[in-house]
Amino acid sequence: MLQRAARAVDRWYRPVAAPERLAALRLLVGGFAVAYLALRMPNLLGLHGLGGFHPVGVASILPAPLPPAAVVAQAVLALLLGLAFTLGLAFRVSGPAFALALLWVLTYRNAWGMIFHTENLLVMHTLALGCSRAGDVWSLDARRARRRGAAPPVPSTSYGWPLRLLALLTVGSYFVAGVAKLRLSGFGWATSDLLRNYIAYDNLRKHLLGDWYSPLGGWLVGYAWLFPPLATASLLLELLAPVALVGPKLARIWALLAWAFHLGVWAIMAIFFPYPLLGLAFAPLFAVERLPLFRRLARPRR
Amino acid sequence: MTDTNAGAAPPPAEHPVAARPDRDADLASHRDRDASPADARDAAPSDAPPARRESSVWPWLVGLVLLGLSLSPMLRPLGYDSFPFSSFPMFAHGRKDAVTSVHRALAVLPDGTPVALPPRALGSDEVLQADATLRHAIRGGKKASARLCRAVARRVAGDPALATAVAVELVTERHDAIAWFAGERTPLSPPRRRARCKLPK
Repeated sequence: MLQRAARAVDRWYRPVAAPERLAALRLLVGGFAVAYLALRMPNLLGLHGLGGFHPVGVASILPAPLPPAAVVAQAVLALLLGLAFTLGLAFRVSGPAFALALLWVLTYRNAWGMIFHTENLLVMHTLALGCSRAGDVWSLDARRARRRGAAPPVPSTSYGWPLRLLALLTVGSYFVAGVAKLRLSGFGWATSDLLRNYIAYDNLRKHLLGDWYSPLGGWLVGYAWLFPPLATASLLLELLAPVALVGPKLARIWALLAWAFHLGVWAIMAIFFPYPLLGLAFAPLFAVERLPLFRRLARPRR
Repeated sequence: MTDTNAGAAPPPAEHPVAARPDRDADLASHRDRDASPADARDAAPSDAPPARRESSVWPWLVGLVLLGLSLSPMLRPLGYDSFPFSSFPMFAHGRKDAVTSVHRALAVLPDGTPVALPPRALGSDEVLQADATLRHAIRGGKKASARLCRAVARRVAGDPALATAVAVELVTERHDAIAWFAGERTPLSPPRRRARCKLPK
């Protein structure tokens, strides 16, 4: 009985899949990570000018901030490894190397008193992809192998489990966020004025600190009745995230609602979560290899 | 395009993936069965190579470690926050009202008018990182506040948009955020000055 259950779990976690979907995720997640690092480069390079070094995660091994030259070197190295990861160049090495470099560079960025929760899932997905064979097709490695006359990769469980793991990490992160609300505030989080207070506080803080805030959020906090239903919906969305793993219809519905949730957060709190808003957080739940973006890669080669 | 079931054996690289009929909705249960190599072969075109099941050690090791770490904050002390594994406690703590203290960096014009400084004056283009820098300095006391004030003043002095500013102040204001958005802009108590420094010539 137990063995049968274990086999069923194993079959679910390690389905046979073709390599294209995993490769598409490598291109999407890697491409996003490279663009993100490039856009954040001024921030990454200017960290040593900030006060209040408070290391977290893997950066906890550092007793003091790194010298500016090392900060520049690690950011540039991560960017170069990211390009190799995305293009699938020596992926057996560049895959895990970029995952670790991204983990390190973004952890260091988060070690200055402010944790950017917009980056957690990106790093987790990159770590999972880096440990997989995501570079077997649609990559420079695959082109080189084809020139050498190597046989094309066959569908395998090696291409199935990373897809499951990425999906599990996505729904897991939402579920954990829902549990934190229950642990810290109980169901009162959904039924009280708590969300309204946070939205007012966060917008005012940003405005007084000379940054963008949401006038829409500022206006809406005048309507107290709006917030308990919004908070209840948000909490349910997080706690029910695992339903996305049940089947494609539920995945579609949940992903759409979660995307709308982030759009709402952007609209009323001016907090931009690029990874989910661009759909990348939910990409492991979809047949992303069929996106028009990849049509050229999927074309038969002669 | 939705497919939570990993996709059972679409054609290998040489076959046009996009050319396959979109049967995702129907394949939901079918694809779970596709975990077996035989089923996977059935689902693939007739000239496709056979599917493979490989060792389970590495997939389970990576999966258990990553998933375990990402779920572990649920078992940690309340409010645990780290990177990249976090309980995501932001906006989860009890907040019974919208009364809040906000630390600010202000440029002071010759007539005494205060002008809010953008986050970059505090050394970061990220507002919350700038906020953390400000909080850290103010918590650090007079010396730390004065040090940050001088650093901000140096940046302001180099900013042509603030050429007329004569000083920089770090202040703490206390507001009721909901009342503020309802039009009540006066702080709940007089702003508390934490540091003031002149702009370098």
